[in-house]
Amino acid sequence: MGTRLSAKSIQKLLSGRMGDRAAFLTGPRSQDLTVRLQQKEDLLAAVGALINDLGMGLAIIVATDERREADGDFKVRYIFEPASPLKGPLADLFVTLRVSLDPGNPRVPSITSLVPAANWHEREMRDMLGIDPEGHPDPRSLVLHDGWPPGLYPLRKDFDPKMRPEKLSAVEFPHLMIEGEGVMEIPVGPIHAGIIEPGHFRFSSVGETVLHLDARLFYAHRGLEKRAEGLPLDEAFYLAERLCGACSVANALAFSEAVEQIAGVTVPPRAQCLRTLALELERLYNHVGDIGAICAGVGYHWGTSAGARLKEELQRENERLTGNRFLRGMVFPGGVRYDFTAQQMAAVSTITATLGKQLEELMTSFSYNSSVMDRMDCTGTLSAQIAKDLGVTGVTARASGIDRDARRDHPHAGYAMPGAVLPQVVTKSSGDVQSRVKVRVAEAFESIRLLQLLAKKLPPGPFFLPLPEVLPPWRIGLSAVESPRGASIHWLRTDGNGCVDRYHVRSASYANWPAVPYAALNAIIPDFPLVNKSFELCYACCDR
Amino acid sequence: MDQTLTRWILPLIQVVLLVLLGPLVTGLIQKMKARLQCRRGAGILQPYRDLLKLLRKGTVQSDTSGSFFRVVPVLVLGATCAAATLVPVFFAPVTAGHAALLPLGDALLLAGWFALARFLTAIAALDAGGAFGGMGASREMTVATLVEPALILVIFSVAIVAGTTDLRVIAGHPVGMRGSFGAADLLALFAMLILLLAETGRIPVDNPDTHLELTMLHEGMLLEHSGPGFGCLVLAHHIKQIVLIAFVQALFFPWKAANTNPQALVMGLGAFILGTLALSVFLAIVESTYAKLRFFNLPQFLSISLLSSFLAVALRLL
Repeated sequence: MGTRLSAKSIQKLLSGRMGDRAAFLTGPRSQDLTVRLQQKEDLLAAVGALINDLGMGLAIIVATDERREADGDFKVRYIFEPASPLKGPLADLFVTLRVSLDPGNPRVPSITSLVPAANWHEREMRDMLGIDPEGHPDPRSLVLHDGWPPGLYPLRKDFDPKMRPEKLSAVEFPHLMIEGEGVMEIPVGPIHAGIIEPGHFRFSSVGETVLHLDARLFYAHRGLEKRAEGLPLDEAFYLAERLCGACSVANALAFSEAVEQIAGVTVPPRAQCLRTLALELERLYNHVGDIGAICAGVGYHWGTSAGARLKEELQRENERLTGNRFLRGMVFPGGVRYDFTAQQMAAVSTITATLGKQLEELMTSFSYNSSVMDRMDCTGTLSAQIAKDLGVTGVTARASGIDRDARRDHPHAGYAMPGAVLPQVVTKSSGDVQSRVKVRVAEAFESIRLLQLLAKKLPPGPFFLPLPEVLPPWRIGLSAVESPRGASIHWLRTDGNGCVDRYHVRSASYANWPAVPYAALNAIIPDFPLVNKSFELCYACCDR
Repeated sequence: MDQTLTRWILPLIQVVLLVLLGPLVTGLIQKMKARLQCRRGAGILQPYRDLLKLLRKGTVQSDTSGSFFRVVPVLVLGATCAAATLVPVFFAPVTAGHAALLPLGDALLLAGWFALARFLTAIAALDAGGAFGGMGASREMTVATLVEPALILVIFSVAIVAGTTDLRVIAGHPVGMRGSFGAADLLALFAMLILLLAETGRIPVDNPDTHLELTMLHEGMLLEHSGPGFGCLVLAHHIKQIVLIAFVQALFFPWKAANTNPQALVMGLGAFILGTLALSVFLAIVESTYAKLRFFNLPQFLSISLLSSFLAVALRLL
């Protein structure tokens, strides 16, 4: 395991185990490996080899309905990425295991007991495509909520998205509950007192101690993946950019990179750097806002106001730079929409320098305030083992000691350019709220540093490269972008007309949500909002 | 005539003043907090506007709650107003003694009225059947078990000197007008300031500005109330706050008018206004500079108050 993983070494290992029951191809990207398993029974052995022998982790599972195509089947692609050693950097590599399923009775062995991170992916695949992960430990639905007619699978190609299914009378969702003397059940949401997104949390508790938390999401499911199907890529782009508000740039960039892979174009260096700039601006305003939100979680009013003020200043700067507070409309397949003038670059320099000073002031009053630090210390601990098993990403993973950052491990935008300045990946080991805050603070300062470097020297040249009118058919694009919440992975496949055949996103929040109940176990009920805020997950891009 | 004035008119004016000014003190504290956080904040009259808004609204009631639930806000408001009759605001006749005063009750009854109001609020919260009400009630009661003994000890530490537990007499007692503060006074005042934070539901004990239901203490119990009933409970909380502020002043800074001389009355009122401002500044500063404590650390924090009030009593007796 000591040597760096490569497609070749993985192929060697797998072909040793599978013999001729597996076909090996290169793709979707030139360094990646796709393994076509001829028998779905081999799946567990192949996954076991990747996970146990090579220390890889699950990136995304994509199920497709290809019954109308030449193969006439359902396909499931299990995509893995290097996850070990815990200390990076890791090889930029995706390994796709592809299985073909019977179109009449699609079943596939569940890998959840081998890879806990697959839990939600497999349940989503069961809900949306009717592909049964045999042996999955959790029989409950994930995406589809009470009253949805059974046997109706929205992501199958024969499902008409314009259809309005009849709402059946609903049985109450079987939440996992704990029974016993003095055990109370506390339902929270889906409608909350604050203006936040919908999600239902069911606590089982004794007194103030949390015994179990069952979180139910997908109230914000908008069917974006279904809507994208059949759309030309430049139109589907707007859906991708609007997956959620806070990660607009990251999602727009991930989609754009997938499209560019399919088109086979390389974006000019100036556009790459402007994309990085937008990405770091997004990370900065998110992290600063999150630090303020943490203060609200502990009831530290001064910090809440200061955080909100700094975030507002950054968002106003975003609007001055790109015309949008969320930096929407900047990144586009082929490059970026606007070039920044020297004056604008100077403005970025100035505002980030000022913000750096103000953030330092905030952090001083923050870290010398023992009442604030005490609330965060050892609260909501997420162990490295659980974080690794669940494939947690982003700030949450790094705060639990997992040294992973898609900016370094799956270089994109300007980070992929030769001689690019890479961010220093900050990790903490204790995995509590304090670690997550500290990682965020360090990353905010790191973003300021990167922004200042980028603003100083932007490579000259064009900032846009027109894509071909019609994109090649039946191609796959796969990209991972480090959003403020972690790696957002987009998988895109074109149909015969070069439009979207299937688009699937594993947002960072999707990967991290399953970890929240585990962190809540190490907190008391009144601390849960704080723990939740320290993850700062998004419902919209998880639910899609 | 003079008898009517001291027995009826001035006490009545004092109660009305407390009820009317209660929301203003909250508005003032909110404004100061906003300024301390570099915000502009709402006007100091905002609590009055909120109350008017609530009084005009309709009421929505949980299906599981009975008619008792609807009565509770009025009862709580009544109990709090009754407590307000027991604290002197600007007038405390020195020579009057018990005879000159209406037999309304003493400081222990004040603690009793607050306990009753708290009990009723908690019962109503449980009646509504919501999880947050139950959690809020359970937490509020946990805090109450620590706050009430300390409050009684603070009262005793001063009552020992004054020879009575009637606040109007304590505030008017010649010994009460002591020029210098002893160690016992300081300890009792320190204990009382902690109690003031706890009883007014402020940081570090409770967070009045939060929307996070899971963290709430006092607010959690009020979640199921709406419209005029909710308005009554909010008003009761405003009144409780100003009564406690008046209570602190009656015990430790009793600069009250000793007779009906208009000049003395104005001085007494001025002293009350200054004292209220000072305590409001204290509350605003604490609330802006500290985070809320972990719930399980509250007993530790409140036991400081219990300990120092106990020491204050011990010093008096020794």
